[in-house]
Amino acid sequence: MGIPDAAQDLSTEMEVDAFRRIFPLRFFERHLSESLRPDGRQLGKARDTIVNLGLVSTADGSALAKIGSTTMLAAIRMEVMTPSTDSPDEGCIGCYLVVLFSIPAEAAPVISKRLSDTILSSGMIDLKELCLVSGKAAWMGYLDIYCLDADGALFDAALLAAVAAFSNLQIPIVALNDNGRIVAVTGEKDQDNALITEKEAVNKEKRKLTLKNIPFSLTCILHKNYILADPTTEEESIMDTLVTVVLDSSDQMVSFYKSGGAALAYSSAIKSCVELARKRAKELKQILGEMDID
Amino acid sequence: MAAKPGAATPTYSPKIVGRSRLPIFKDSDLDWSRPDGRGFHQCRPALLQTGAVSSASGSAYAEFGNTKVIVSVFGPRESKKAMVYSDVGRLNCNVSYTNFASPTLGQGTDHKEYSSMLHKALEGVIMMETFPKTTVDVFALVLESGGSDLSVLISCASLALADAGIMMYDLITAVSVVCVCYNSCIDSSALSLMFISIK
Repeated sequence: MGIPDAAQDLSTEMEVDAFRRIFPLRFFERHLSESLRPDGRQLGKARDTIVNLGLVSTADGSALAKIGSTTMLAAIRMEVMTPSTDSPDEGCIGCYLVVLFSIPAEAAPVISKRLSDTILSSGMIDLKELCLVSGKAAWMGYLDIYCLDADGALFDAALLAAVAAFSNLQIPIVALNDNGRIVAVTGEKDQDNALITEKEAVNKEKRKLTLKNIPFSLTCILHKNYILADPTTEEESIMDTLVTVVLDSSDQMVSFYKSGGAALAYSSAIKSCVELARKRAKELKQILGEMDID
Repeated sequence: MAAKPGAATPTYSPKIVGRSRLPIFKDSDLDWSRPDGRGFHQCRPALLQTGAVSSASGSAYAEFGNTKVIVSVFGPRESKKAMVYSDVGRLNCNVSYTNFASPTLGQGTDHKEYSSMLHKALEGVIMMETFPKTTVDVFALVLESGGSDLSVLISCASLALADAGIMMYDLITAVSVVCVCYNSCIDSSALSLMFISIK
């Protein structure tokens, strides 16, 4: 085969950057055979993760999650809706992910849907807590996630940002006014407020949601015998088999996602991915715990 | 298990909209101060930082008080939209607001013209002949709108272009001016605009 030999010959003569662009797969495989990746990480190690809360003052809850260079900003706005007749005591959550500036734009609705399914099925949020007046009014939480910088592992960063935003969420104080509408209760004393306090305030104070079973996710790449945790965009574009494992805080599996790709997911590979996800969940729990999120 | 959100479910925000505006000054009164204590010709304290987005050719993040803006520049690169050969480069600007950018909802419609206004501001200063046949894309996202959005966008965009290494004649800056009864105040925040009734 002419091409592998050509690569071998040229690798000694070419500059590293040129080799990386022209023979990306060989470049990565040379690193993988030493159990390293080009940025110096171990195969099973994720990038540095930072989470910041409460950045957007106009939203009811917000968070910024950064995994390596991938940056996701999540914010939640609460609005009032009429609950459906078959679940009059439950509110609702809508997730929308917006991926700006980067390719491929078709990834955004897929990640949106997966995120929405994961959050709802993990049981993190009890929809009954979002009820205001049974059968008449309930909270609808619009979760908007903006991808400010896309460098691989978009789903992981989006989920982390969403979870952190929910922990930062404070439900505003509202009351039911004469027309049957829910209005916000402000701190000022004016004529309107006096009327409202005569009615029963539906929320006595700004409260937070109780989160149980927080989901943590880890995306891995399967390539031949190697499993790479937390890929960058470059790695994702060269090796196409992505596996995402979502575990909750008691290490139960919430979701497992593999969509095509050249490598097959044998049970040994799946077990290793779940093991890596478990370690990652511990790390993430610690990061969130440092910010008093339980 | 969960109620279907659906576009059909109408929701409303409980926030009180259209509260009565108290004029913070009267025409004859020339000694009034702005709600945040600034002088008439004083700008808000600013934070400007480049290199915020690693996947872009250049980027900048700006915070002027409560107005937070992030701009990414991609290019010069090939553009699918360009049908005709041109020996000068093209500039493509796009300004979008996050859904939570303004405290009241439904503000998106007011700002569709910002994209073309940003384009007009930048096209005079970029040396288009240095990147023929290619396009430079400028994507701006307003994270939080606290007033004077367009001026912050323009300043931040020129910083992002400089970070991307696009050749320009100079860095451009912008500031917004509000004329109130023979006085002019610069860099107004959204809060002060709410209280001014211009006679």
